[in-house]
Amino acid sequence: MPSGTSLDDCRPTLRGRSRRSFLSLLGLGGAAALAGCSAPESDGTVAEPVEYVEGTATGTRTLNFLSVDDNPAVNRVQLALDGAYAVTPEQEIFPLWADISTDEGRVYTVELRDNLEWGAEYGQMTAEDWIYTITEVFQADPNWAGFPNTGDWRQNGEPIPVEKTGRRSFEIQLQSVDPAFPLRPVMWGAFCMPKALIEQYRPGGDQAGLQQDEEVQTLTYAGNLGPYRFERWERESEFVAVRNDEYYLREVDGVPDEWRDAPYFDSYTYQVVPEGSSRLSALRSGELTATDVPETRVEQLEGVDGIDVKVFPQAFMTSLIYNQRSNGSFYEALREPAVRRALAHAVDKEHIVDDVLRGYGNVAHTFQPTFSQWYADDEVTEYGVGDTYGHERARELLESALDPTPYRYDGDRVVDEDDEQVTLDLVFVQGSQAVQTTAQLVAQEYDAVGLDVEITGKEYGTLVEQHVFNSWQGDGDPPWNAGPYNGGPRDGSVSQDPWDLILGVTFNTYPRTPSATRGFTIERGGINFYGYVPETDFGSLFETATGTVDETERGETLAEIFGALSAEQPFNFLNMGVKIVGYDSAVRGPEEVFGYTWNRNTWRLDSA
Amino acid sequence: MGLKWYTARRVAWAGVVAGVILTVTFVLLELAPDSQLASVQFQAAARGGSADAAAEAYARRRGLDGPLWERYVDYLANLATGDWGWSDTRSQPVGEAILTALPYSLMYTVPAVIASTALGISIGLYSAFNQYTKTDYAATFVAFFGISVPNFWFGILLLLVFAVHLGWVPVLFDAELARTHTFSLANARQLALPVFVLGTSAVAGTMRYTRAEALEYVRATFVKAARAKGVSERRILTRHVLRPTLVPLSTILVGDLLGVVLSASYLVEVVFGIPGLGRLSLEAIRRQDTALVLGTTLVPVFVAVVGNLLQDLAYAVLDPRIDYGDR
Amino acid sequence: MNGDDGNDSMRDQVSGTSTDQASDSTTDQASDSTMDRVRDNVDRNGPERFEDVDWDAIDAEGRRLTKTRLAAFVACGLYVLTLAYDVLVAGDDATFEISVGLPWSTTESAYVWDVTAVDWLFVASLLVVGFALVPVARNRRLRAYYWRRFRRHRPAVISAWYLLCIFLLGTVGTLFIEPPSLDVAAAYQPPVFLSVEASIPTECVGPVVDGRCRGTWEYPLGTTGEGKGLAALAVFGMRVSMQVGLIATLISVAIATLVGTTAAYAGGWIDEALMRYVDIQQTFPTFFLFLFLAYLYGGSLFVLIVIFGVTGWGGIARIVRSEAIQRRQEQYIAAARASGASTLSVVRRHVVPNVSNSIVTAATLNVPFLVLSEAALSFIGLGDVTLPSWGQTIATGRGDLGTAWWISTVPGLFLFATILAFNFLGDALRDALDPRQEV
Repeated sequence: MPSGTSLDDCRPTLRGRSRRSFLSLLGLGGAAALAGCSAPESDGTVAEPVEYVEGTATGTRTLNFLSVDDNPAVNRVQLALDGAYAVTPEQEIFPLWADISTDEGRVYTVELRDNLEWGAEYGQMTAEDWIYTITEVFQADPNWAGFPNTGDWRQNGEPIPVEKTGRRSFEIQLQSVDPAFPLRPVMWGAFCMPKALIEQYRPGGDQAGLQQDEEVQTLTYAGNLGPYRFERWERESEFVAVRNDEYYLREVDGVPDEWRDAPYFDSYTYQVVPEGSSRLSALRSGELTATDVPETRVEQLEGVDGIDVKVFPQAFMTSLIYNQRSNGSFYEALREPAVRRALAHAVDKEHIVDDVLRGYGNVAHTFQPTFSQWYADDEVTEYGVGDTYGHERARELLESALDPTPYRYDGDRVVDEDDEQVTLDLVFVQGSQAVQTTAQLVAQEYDAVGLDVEITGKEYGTLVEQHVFNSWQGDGDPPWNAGPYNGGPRDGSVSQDPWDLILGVTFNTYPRTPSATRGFTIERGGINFYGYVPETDFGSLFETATGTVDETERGETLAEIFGALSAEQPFNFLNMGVKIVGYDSAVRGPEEVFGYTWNRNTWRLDSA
Repeated sequence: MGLKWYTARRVAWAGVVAGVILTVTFVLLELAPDSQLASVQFQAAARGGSADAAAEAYARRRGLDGPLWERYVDYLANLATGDWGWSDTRSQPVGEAILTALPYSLMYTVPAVIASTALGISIGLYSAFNQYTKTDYAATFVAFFGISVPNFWFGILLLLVFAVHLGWVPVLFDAELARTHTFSLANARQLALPVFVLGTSAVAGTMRYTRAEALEYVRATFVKAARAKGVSERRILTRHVLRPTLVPLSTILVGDLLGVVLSASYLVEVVFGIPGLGRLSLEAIRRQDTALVLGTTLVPVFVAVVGNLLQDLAYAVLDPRIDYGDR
Repeated sequence: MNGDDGNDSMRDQVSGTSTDQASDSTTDQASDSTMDRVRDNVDRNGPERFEDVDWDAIDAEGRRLTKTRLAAFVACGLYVLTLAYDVLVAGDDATFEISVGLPWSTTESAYVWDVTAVDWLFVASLLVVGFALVPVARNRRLRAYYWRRFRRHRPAVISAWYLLCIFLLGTVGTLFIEPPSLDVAAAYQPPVFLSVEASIPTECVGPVVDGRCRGTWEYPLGTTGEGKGLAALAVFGMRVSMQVGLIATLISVAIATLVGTTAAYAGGWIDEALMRYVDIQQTFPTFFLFLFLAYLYGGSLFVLIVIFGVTGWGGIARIVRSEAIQRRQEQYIAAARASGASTLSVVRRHVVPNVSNSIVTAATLNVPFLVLSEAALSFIGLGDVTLPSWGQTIATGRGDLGTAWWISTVPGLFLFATILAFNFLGDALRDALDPRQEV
């Protein structure tokens, strides 16, 4: 060893794994952590750094949140920048940099704390910085910085007006009342950059300059604005942030006690381990503190000493999507709600959750998870569970539902008008074992009711390009166009390659801002690539739900929407996914609720 | 025609090869579906925004706006000035990305190549001297073991046994440690398994060549003459067989071994989490980072071209029978 | 081989073959004689080799429509007819649909085979390989000679038998066993005679003894996480491996032979252009090229085979060319030309047969590389996940190695044994077919 001291001394002994003692016997020492392992302190006691190491499959591409806002980037930036405010699992606003308030639900006031300091001599964070970032980046036209969510800061194509009302406060003036605005991912978790920093690139629209800016890439401007300071970023290997001793939240009155000394880790590392089985191995050997675990691998970790598996509810829904556009081979039938309901009887949702997902998931019946406050049990019709699952029943229902369509039963197989057996093309997204198994299971279940299914796996990008994107193939211009996912009416706008069923494209169900599901459910919705034309007038129902400040009315309308969706079955809602994380059992803090990461700065390692 | 003219022609040809490969790669990448774009658009549409605007922003950010030929000419112009472009998926210059990844790759490939070459030559010689005996088969089996076993499966298995159960080596590759303490025991420990896996997969190639070459010489008249004169077997082995065998063998180190090492390194680096060139190239292809794909393609092309050139030149200088004008 | 060799009388004297064979044999014998003293005694009477197959005799017979020719024509005709039927008539429907009551199966199973593009290619490959072997198989002396040389290499003999089993199981066997199907209830069953903690399988099919689930004969090699029997998967994997290895290699060999001989024989700018192209293609690291193309065009079996076949021939083409250049300078070529043989016929009758041993060796060593490449691409996630290949099974089971080790290990061992067998076989063939072969 170059330093001459045993490396084990500076490695936190998180738990007494036999491995470590074995190593010290051999005198080999720990290999994993030389960093932060400096000479022992003068008084002789060795400070044991508490390190939190999270294993991920991929690294981040950038730390420039103005251009990229995918999860890897946001997770890392969040270590150094808190963001405007957090939302607790109880859907309450937890002010971080700022608090947001409103009187009547249309104009929102954002009030910044008074001890927010940028680093690198950018001074105090003021409303000026926010106004500049919003108007000159988020709302900029042309979108010089490549901000991915320009739609968030616009309403009906117009930029949402923002106005400075004080040195540390500004107003957001919406066009109409929107009581759920603070829960939308617009201001919630929003980051900001110093005006002086953006100003260097704004005039020339120098996107490349901004991308390559040293301060942007090392977050030196973060100052006291987050619980950690950027330490180093080895691309596709590790991202290390160390505890920020100047964290502003420590000097603020009225924050809960556990935030007083936050964070409790001396360093927070994202370690990139591309191979899933290696990640699990590293969790077992104690080299990782936490990492995601796929449903099919949870068993391996259960009962392993020193590892706790936690399951967090999620709002991502897996559904079997029916092609109702005219390039499907069964579309005339799939356009009939009765056919879709009959097919829903053919697939055993509980079987999928119990046996494919090994119980790590929840059966879904509508476009909302059951834990959502908008989910109303009595409005939702359930299919594919208990009595509503059965091949006999499905067959009977399908037989009568096929009447108005060119298809019918010939013996026990479904045939088309030329008496040819109907074969459906099921395309699924490759990469997840669970999705692949579900696809085969669906094929088996459909086969049992007389429908042949051929399954093909494709890479996500390929699948989207070949089957999801659709464009107008008819003559002239389309009557309307809602973007690449919905190029026009379903008879004229079809995808490049035909398909009948898609599995593995998961939908966010937005339990906090349920009206965001509008794009999935109305004929002209931006996501409606499957060509669904609802019988219920969801458009006006959503309008009512968004526009009212009356909580009861809102609740009732939304319950009606989700009830009608469950009855119409635009696609077969199969299950709500969960996030499964394997933790070092010394980790204290993560609660198994939706949105659990909001307080990760208060988590700690219990070394006792 | 002299050596200089020959060299000049070879260098010019190398340039042409690199140019053709770059062009083909550039065009192929352009045709590929982009899953990043698909995700970005999907997200925008799901949030009620405009998918088209998101696509535009994405193209602008990735430098994909503008016609193909314009971007191609720009790229070539930059390359000519030594600028390999900006890797958008890593937020760093391509040159820097390659220079960062290269040492990690060398750290395990160099020991693996040295070890496998030594082992391959020994087994090859042994096998040639003991053809068709049981020990020959055993030795051949050892050599073929590595090339036959699926690398990734073997790697994962070794990790489970030696890292998880026995705890002799760490599961994760600590890049920081490797960078700052390259020649430490701890680094050697974390490199042990990758070196072993890669090394075993490269043994067979060397062994096969050595054996074929050695078989030639084992029966050569001069070996028989030496033996008749009473030269010891050991001396025959080292002086009369090994020496002439090594000459052509040195050339395959460039070609064949490079191929094995390059293809194995993709899998080895993924399994062991080493942020080397293989993973750099793989991620670049997956994320369609054009500049980085081109950069990482240039590296093996460069090595192959330079390797072949040096090999040809060595032959040309050493063997007077070769006419420079021919090629 | 010598002038008084009985075969001569059968040779077509017009083409001047006797000269070429004689001159060829003198060089061969020189090396043979040294070698034979080192090795145990080899038959001195007629050390015939692959090049000595009486191609001309066969050709001469061919003009008279031999049985072999007839068979080849019939097979070819049948192939074209069924192909036409599949494309034009059957379309999307199954090509064959036969209802048969199998004696060992209680229910009557309808035998349905929708022949895919890969199947068509595979059948074609088998036909080509089969008829290519006919000249060797028909010549008893030649067969015996090769066999004597080959069998000295014990492991290679075992390898050959093993590969034959794999081949038969993969081609014929797959027609009679059910493809592995999904049954999540039967996931993670251990192989027979082994047991695993009862919590690991979804439900234990066999008996549970002392809290451990035992394997059953229903799944002799255990099941995957999807409840597919590994025994069936292994057998279907054989077919995929054979398809990948044989078809792609045959495509490679065909292109390589064409390019190599053309370059060698035509010379001049054609040679220059072709070899320059090979240069460029070879500069791309092969696996990188596979990876890149598989990413761009998807990893279905058909696409993979085409990628492997169309891009992997550079090395073989170089070998063929250098061999062919050596042959070109032989006197028999000059004699053939002098006697008025056309370029095409010289290449076909004299050049190609004479480089065939190098081709066979190179091809044998190309197969394992391709099979491994398929597995590697599956691991990286670029293959077709619905394909029952060994690579896919290993790749999907790799996360379970800690608890259900057999999922990856069973196909892993098959893959390992197959690659090993091909390597042993390749080396033995090299020794048997041409001891002078350096590389």
